[in-house]
Amino acid sequence: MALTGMKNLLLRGVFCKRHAALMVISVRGKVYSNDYAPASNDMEDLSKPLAENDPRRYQKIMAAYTEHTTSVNFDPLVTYFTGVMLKKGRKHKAREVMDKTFENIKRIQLEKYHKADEAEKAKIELNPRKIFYNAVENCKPVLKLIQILKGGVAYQVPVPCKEKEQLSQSIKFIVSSCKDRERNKIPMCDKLAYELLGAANYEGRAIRKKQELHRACEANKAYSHYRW
Amino acid sequence: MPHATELLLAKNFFKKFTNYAPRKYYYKVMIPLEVHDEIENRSEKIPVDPCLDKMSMMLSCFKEHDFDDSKCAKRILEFQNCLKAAKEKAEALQKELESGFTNTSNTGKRKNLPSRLVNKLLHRYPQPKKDWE
Repeated sequence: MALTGMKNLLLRGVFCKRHAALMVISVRGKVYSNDYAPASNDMEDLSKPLAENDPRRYQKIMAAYTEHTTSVNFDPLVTYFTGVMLKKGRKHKAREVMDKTFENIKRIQLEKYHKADEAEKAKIELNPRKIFYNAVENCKPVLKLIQILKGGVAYQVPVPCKEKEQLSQSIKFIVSSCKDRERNKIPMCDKLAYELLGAANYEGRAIRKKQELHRACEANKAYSHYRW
Repeated sequence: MPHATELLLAKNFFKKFTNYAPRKYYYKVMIPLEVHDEIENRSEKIPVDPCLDKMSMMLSCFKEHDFDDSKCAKRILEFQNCLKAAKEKAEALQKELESGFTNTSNTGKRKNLPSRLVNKLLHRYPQPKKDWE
């Protein structure tokens, strides 16, 4: 509402364009300085009384994130995943999609479980969160390619991937393989459920994307000396 | 014919022969000829071993199994352990280098001392100052 109101005022000529640029609120960017510590949402840790030499007695602490709840169902990896998946800042919608995907995975696995023989029943994983963790773990690439300029030619050089980059890259593989234009009419929760189930068994598009990266690294193996 | 009066009354008679005269040298001290008590401070970083042999072994394993890396778990683990060990080793060496004179096990092998240590030594034994006026 506030934005539309401002637009009207702009059209009437009350504010000039320079005023409008000043009014834009920056969404991202670091607010806190380095001496602030992140807030914890660990209930066990919070319920204990503070020790005398605990640094939290004098240290400044950031405000807690809204999505980092003290709930039993809280999972840092799931919140990270929803953050990568969301579009145009609609986090509430993204969270709904995430819940629906877990429900879908549970339904698919239960259907398999009831159809299967007694001997095969023990092998089927029914916990959707475990499947999700396995899928993310399987999509992690070991290497990545970086561009290095040498003699006016840009070489693709394979370098080891850090742990944090591996996680972000694996999530990007899964999400981007679901956000395609070909299957635009299928809801995201269905696509994600099948993708996660596939990735947990080393199948699907996300795994293939990782393998393509490894293939490109193997092709450019000769340039690995160009790193420095 | 030149007249004698012209030659006798000329102000600088030998002006055009000045380039044959013995040259005079002037000495002026622009920069005093002495060594500084400090050198430029360069940050030195010990390079981390990139584990290229382990990487090539892992990639060849990938190629054997048609890039199905679930079958090359052992090779991947070897590669990552090698990286971790190399990083720890480089960090330990860096700490030792920055700590100073106390541990000379690594500094003894080097050709040149790091700039920090050179500066420390130069400050301890400064150059004698002269008057260059």
